[in-house]
Amino acid sequence: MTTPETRVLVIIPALNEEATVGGVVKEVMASVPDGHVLVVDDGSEDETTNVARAAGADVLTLPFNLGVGGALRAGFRYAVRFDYDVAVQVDGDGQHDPAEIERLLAALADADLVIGARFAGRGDYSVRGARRLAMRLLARSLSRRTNADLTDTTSGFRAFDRRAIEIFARNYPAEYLGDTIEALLIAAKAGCQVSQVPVQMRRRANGAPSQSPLKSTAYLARAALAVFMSRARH
Amino acid sequence: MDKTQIIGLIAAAITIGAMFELIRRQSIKEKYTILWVLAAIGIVTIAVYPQILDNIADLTGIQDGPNVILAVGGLAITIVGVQLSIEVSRLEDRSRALAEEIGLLRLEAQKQREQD
Repeated sequence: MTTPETRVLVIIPALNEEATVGGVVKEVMASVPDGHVLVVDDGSEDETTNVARAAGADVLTLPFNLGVGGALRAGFRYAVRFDYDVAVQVDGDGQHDPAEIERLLAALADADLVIGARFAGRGDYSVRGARRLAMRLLARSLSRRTNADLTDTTSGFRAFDRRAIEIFARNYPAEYLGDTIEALLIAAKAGCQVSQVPVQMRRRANGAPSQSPLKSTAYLARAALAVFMSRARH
Repeated sequence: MDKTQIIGLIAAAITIGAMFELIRRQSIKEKYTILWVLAAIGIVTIAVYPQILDNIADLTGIQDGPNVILAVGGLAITIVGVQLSIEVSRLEDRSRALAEEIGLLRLEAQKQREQD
């Protein structure tokens, strides 16, 4: 699928990630030497834009915070406007290993959207309690809808082919959690093939993921709401 | 004309006057004033013919005339609330799209400057 002529755009949504985004940009450029890096600064109040630009990325600076969904849609629009064949989404906090991008790109040979899945056998990333339950339920529900065997539907490490890019440049959901979940339903409805590749997570260089019981329960509730609303729409 | 009728007419006059002023200053779109003008007309009607409430109450099986006001008022406010939610969602969508477009244009402008 990816020949040397394939134009690859790596989209890095970043919100107040000045501490990590420079390193991520450099690593991505080293891992995907033929690709271009676009950092979407989602209304950061720190030096994210300047740090990313100094590291060599193109930076799309949003005037105010839109959330990951909005940042991504801006990235997809950029990809369409400048005619990229493939887009990869990588978090700006350094939890995704850019060395794995090649594996995602390779999997685009038989899919339009590839998810880098965190609990699919590789790596030691794990979550507990209500959050785990929420993630399982989401995985089951979305696997059915996408006709794929998915274990991690909220991963922000994904690859998109031109077809998926064009769909999402027009219509990428903006709501929290909706952005990852509803995106899969939109893709499935448009007839896109979805697949996943197991990836290894790294420790977040910038703070730990939230795991308190209260937050996890809220997460479960929001996930249920997101699925409900997405289903109502599609 | 008794006191309640006069109070009702004043309330209606203030509503219509306020709507007219808001339209004149262009601080409200015409489509949003229609509902309020309808409300004012309703107030006038009730103020002048209070017995209309009892008539409606008899027709619909509502026990007490004034409850008609509560029911209709509650319904009207609900409709306005929903209408405003729809409107806010639409505006938010548009401002998001504009924000994305501004980001893209900024980046293009910056690249252009670097080329020159």
